[in-house]
Amino acid sequence: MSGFDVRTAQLDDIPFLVEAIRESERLSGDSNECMYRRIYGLTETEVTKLIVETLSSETEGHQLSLGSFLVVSHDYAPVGCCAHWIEQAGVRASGTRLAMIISRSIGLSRWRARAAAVRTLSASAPPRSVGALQLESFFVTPEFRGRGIVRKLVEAAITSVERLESPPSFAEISLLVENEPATRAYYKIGFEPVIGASMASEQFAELTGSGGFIQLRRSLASPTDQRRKLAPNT
Amino acid sequence: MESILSRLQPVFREVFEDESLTVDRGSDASSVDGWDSLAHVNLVASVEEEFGVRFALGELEDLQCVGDMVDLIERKLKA
Repeated sequence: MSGFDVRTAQLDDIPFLVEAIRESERLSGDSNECMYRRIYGLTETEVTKLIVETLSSETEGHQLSLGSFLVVSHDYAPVGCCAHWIEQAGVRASGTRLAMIISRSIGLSRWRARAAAVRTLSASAPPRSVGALQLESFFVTPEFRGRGIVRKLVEAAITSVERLESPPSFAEISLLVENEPATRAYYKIGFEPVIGASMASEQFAELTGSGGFIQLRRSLASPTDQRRKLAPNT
Repeated sequence: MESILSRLQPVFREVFEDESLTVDRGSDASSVDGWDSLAHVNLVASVEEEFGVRFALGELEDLQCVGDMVDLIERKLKA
């Protein structure tokens, strides 16, 4: 992996992140649309505006916050990214934070008009575990795929939370079941499916064309455990 | 003068469609049935309308309970 650097996203990365988020939220099937477009009934231009505004909103702790993103760069150009944050409870939950921001961006009346679609999404998405490291919106540019960049991002995200006063005990990823290549990639780096996490409904399938979400988890060994693992056998 | 908390009571009752709902400073999303993301958006909009204030997204980040909301409204009204 020489020549690749992982860093926290900066304002200059927003154009790359917009494309990355659109790709990572793309639905499979005929429409090939971004999830945000389908849920909120937006045009392509409005989706871009929504993502740019949300990334620029200086909020934290959700999947569209600039500070949540790690970026892998090669020769100073971004080639991959993922969002990471620790899920919080109550009105600080990522879903609530994001709902507040999106409602401001698209306007309250429009938000209320899409309430049924938002409820369908909420009811189908596996609940995020409070206190867990959340990982989402993985994207690697096509020419750099297969070079271990997803692994590098996951390791960097785990390293970033290891020294917290109360480090998370596991990492969690939710993704659409149709995204099989990504699911296989996560299995290779230690993630396992959470049985019974999928709650796909007919309404969700009708709305998005997707069979629902799969949720994956990976236990996070404490730094002490990791040092023990690295120590030579005696 | 009517307290901020007492002015919030009917707002909560309307948003959560519960005429018997009573909130105190310690009430939060875990103690009020139905306080999910959709309800939160409606609650913030109704509170802004009731008090004639507009919350910045950054101000809403720190809210955890009704008491935080009362304090925030008080700060906005004094500003």
